[in-house]
Amino acid sequence: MTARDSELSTNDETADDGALMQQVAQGCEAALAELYDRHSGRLYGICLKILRRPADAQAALSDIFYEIWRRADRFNPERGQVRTYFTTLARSRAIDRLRSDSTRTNHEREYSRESSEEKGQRSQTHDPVQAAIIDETMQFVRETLRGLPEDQQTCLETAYFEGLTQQEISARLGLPLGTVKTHIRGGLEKLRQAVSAFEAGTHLEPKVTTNKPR
Amino acid sequence: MNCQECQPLLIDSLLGDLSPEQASEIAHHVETCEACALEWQLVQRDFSQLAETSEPVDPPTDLKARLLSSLPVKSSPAKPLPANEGLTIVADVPPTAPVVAFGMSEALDEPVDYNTLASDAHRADGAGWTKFALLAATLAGVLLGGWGAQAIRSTLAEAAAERAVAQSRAQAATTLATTMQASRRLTDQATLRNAAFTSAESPSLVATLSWDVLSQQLHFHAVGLPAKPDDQTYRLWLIDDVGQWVEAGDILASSEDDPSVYRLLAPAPEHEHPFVAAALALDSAESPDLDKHGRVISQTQFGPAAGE
Repeated sequence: MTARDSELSTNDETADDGALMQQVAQGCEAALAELYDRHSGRLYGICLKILRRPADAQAALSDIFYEIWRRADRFNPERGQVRTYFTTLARSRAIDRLRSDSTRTNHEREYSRESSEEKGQRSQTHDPVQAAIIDETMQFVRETLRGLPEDQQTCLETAYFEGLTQQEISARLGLPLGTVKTHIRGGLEKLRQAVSAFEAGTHLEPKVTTNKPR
Repeated sequence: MNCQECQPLLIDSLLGDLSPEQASEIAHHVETCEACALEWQLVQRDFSQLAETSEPVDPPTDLKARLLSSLPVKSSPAKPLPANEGLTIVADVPPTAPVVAFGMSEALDEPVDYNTLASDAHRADGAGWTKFALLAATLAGVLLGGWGAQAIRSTLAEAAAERAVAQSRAQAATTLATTMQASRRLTDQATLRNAAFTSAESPSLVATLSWDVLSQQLHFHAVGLPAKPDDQTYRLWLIDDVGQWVEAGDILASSEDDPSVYRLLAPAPEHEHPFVAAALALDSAESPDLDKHGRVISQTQFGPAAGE
């Protein structure tokens, strides 16, 4: 039996993501399928928010899992969580597609999440306790962001979901560059304070990554 | 640079608002300063929290099956590519990549004289430029056989896109067949890493990149690039194994007499990580922002060397 054909070696649906990544690195398709089940909904949501068109988002999602398949051996758990790595990968690949001309042209097309048949249910994670903590954290982050002034929200979301520089955001929104920088800095500071306080209250250890500045 | 200068610029660096020189200074300081390294990590984490504003949505149910059925076989875990060694590289084509092929060379006794080859090409007939299409066998092998072709076929769902790719492949195949002899001159050389670019959105594009790892020279050559505004430039980027884009140089029309032929001769940028991919982008003609490329025309992605 090859690694590609093997079943999840743990035979344990609660195997953590890091263990699954190790199995993917060895060529275990079942481990990749398990990671897909756990994360595809969230990653597809990110791609869809960036790219708008379901076809583009699906292509980006395929790119992401191909990259995970090819590069799982390079994932270093000491440099951050699998979840954060996947999120960063999803944003990066979706924005790469957004920058391509064909996608950019299509980006203006109307996308309605509420009416889309693509709308689905949140993916299930296998550890109910961890899932509850993650869900609670996500909800808290969303509420925190919704509580920010509109200009701050817009600047932050444009930077994240469209990959624009602050200078580009300034031109897009017709705001002075200094104002854009103030909005982004202030928004991130508020987010950090709120999430840190929340994590302290729920004993969820903050995880950070160690990628170098670009 | 000290901490007081560095920390206020971390967000600017993360969002790509710094010049390459400034970004490099920040990176260097963060590497050597524990306090700024921690602050950099926190800024990254803060920013990534914004992903949570997107609601999870289940993808179509058949996507998982299509993905799993088209995975390339892993003979062994991938290894990082050395930056300065000649290797035999076979394209590892993601299912939706618009492009891709990468070839490698065998044995070489002396460095390639790109300028001579370029001159030869321009003295030759209209197809002379194709002497630089040196990826013949590997390109054909990658595009026409193996999982890469299957993956491309399976995921380029739109018929128009498939036709464009087919036209592009046909043109590339014709080009490569007619220049096989000239190509062999280069593909017999072990110090070259070669790449070919095509693009579904620009079917007429045929471009090649050769990287002589002995002399650390890049040679890029392209025809069929669409017309561009004067305030923009075609630019070549190299992408390392952690996804960082490094500018390799602007690609200029080879002469005013023949603006359809573009080329770049430049030293390969020095970089701490091995490059594993290359991309052609249409950028602002102004000074480039590090890691901020413009519209990507074509991009290669390649995996571990064959047989690894």
